[in-house]
Amino acid sequence: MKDSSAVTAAIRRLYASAEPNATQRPSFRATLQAASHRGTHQSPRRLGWNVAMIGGIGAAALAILLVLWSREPTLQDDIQLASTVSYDDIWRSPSDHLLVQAVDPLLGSTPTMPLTGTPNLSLDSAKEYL
Amino acid sequence: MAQPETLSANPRIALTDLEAMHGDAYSWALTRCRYSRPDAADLLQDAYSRLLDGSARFDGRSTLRSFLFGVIDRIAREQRRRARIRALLLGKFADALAPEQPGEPQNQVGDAELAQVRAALLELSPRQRDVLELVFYRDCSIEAAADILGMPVGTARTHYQRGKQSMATKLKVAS
Repeated sequence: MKDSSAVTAAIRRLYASAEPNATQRPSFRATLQAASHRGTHQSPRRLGWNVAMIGGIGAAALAILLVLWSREPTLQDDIQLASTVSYDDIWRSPSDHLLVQAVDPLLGSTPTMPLTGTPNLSLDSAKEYL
Repeated sequence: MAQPETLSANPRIALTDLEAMHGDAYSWALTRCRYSRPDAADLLQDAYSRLLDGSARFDGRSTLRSFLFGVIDRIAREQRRRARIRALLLGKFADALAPEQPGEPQNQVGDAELAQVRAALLELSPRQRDVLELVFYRDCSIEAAADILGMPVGTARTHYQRGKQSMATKLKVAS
């Protein structure tokens, strides 16, 4: 058994010996009908898997939303907030407290820095301190 | 002259052509499922389902047989991939659900020579075995085998050469 034709013949014989006969294979019509049915009705196993996947993704998304929702604002958030508003706007508008919020985290460590009623407190100086 | 009935989502596929290669397709599906008949029937249903709904579309660039074999092989690989993920997630509980790797003929013939061939085939890589099966048993060209197995022709040629050489060496040593 040296040449490739012998290898070919051996492989052909082996596969042919395992070949199902006509009575052992499902009929074409039955297979097609089952396939057509499968197209309109998901198999229970696939349906279960899909429901589990969608449920898992939904639960993960909900968990992320909850974590974001319940998160306390960080100093970084306050810095970003302070950098998006101008000092003048804040000072003149009723949303004055925004600046208060922006510098509020500093107060604990810097009692010398005035909080309200001090027009000298500029946004730049607050940011520089931060 | 009446036109042959075709699949609505795959107008290039005539039902008569599909029926003509049904036996061949089932036989190919069997080797994808390690000769498990229920799994092969399920795999073939899945393949036909994709032809019916158009999620696998035949564009006529290859033969219908190559296309169908390719769809079957792709689905079988998807199923094995899903089984591996399930095994990772569920551990030993996934064993009962997992389809097995594509296998070699489980011949019942008590022929010593066939047993040697089978043993030699088992030592090849699965892709080498697939290429040899397609070329030697299913009369495909190497190009068609590459198309079916979704690999470059050069890769299929390498699998073919190495597989054939390995088989010849093993069978020569065994004989």
